[in-house]
Amino acid sequence: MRSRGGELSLGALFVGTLAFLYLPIAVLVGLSFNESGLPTAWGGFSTRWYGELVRDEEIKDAALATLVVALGATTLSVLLGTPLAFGLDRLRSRTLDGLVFVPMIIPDIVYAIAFLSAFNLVFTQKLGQQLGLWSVVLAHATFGIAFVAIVVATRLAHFDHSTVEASLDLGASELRTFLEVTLPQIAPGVIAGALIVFTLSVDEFVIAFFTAGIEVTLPIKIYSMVRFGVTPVVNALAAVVLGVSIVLVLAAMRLRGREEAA
Amino acid sequence: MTDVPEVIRIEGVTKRFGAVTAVDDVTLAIREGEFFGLLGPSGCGKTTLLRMLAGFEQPDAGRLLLDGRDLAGVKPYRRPVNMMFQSYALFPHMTVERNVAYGLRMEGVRKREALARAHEALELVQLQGLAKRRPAQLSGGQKQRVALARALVKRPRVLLLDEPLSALDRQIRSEMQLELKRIQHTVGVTFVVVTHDQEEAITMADRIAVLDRGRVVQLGDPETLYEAPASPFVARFLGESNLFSGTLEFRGDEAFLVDREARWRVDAQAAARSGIAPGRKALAVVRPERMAMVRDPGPGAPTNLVSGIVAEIVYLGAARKVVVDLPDGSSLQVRLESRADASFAPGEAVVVGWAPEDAALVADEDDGAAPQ
Repeated sequence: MRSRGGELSLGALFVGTLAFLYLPIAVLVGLSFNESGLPTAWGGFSTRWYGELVRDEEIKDAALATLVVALGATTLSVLLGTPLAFGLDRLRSRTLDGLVFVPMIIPDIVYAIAFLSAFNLVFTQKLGQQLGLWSVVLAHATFGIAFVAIVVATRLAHFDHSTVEASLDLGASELRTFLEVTLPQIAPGVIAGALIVFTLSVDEFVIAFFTAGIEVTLPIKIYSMVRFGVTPVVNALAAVVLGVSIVLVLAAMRLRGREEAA
Repeated sequence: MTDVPEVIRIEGVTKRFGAVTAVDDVTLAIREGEFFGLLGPSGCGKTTLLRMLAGFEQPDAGRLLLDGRDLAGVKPYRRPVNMMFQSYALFPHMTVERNVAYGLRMEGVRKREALARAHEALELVQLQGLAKRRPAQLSGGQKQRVALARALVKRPRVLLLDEPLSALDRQIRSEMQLELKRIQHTVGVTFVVVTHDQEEAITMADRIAVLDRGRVVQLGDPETLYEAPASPFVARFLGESNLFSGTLEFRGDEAFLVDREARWRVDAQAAARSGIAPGRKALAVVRPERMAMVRDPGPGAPTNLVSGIVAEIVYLGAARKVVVDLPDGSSLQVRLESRADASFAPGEAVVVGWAPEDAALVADEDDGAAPQ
């Protein structure tokens, strides 16, 4: 039997830790609905700042840029990461697994500098191509490919390869087999990987800041807005980004959970 | 039987995986409508042979003919052959009926007709009610039936079955052996079944090829394999057996296997037929149920006798299996019907005997080799 005092202090610790985790978010979301716009005074509930957010053309442009980058990076990651997963599954080499895994843990700032140098060397100096959204797409796809490959490879580990042979045996060509048998079985893994990449790309700041040239993505826009203090519009914007991220992550988790159950 | 046309002809087929020769110069003909068994221990090459017939592996040498047509380079999906996989390989994302209809849909059969024929196939395997289920909602036996229906729905020239019953419990397994036989009779398709289970092969197959290390060591109907094994390997692999060894000698009308300690009389005609040259080492194979066991050999006792001590008696229901230890450290197995004298007890001294006509003669594989 634990003592009552022990139970109480454990409970307090739990509540305290949760507060530590979520208080800043709660403050942010709370302030985004504050009529007064001042962090010090509650002026009543209002969606005024969300209205201003929607009317701000620069923010809308940045959001569009971010959407383009995220979709591009996700598409590229899926197209290259899925075949990579098949390769990893076939070769079953720990070294290769490691090589694919490393880009996920290389610090963003290292990647950012590396991309800036490499892009400048190859595209700007040799090809005379200015950096822009396309270079952010390439940079985000670099870690995105790794995420997709790892998630799909996990799915493939539970994949019954004899279903492929069964399909061939029953008269389906290789392409038909891939479309009818392989793809439907690994689709949850591919979608989960895509959602993770999309989420990471949407709120990625450091690499985008270094590789976007003169283009402005949403995180870069937020950064430029808060350099002169946090405005209520930024709070509303951050709350929206938070909401979108939560939805995407929950969707990815659901799909991964189904994958493990299968 | 010999005028029945062949469906499959395997000519001198060899398949190597690196340094391992999985299938070694195999030649076989499989007849129209028969239930053919490929039997052997794991690693004997039987599954590789089946996979070559399906088109998943290519032979390194030799030819595979189906209805006289060379299968070299023919893709799996262009062969009129279907396979039932050991793991069943059902498509988990499709319902039972879509699984079964899959092969027809790939052939271009319209959806309605494909489903109707899938339902017929499900009826054949007695699974009518489960058409809308997913594979994950089925028991092992039900999955097996779906796999069978899916492979049969296209009415292939040959159905290949890879260890079809190995994943089932014992009771369902013996039920399914008869069921497979019934279905094969109903549809009249040639079945080629790979198994390591000799009982399964004997129960189901019309003819069996026994494989050992990539080679066919004997081909025949189950009775021939059991009663007249061609080698000690076949004798040991199909059922239990007692082996008596010696050098073959003919004396007048009689034949013997002579050993340092013993002299076994064998059937002279059988010895002549066996083709084993006098002076070569041979083995007499005697099945446990052909052995007699008595306390005192009277006038009616069999010709070849050996004394020993009862080591163990195992009650099997319909019979008793008795293990008798011999003075030289080896042991014999005797099978006594339940109605026979049950009064033997472990530790008792007995005499075990067999008659020359109850033994099959095989050349000793160790002949000429260094003693082990």
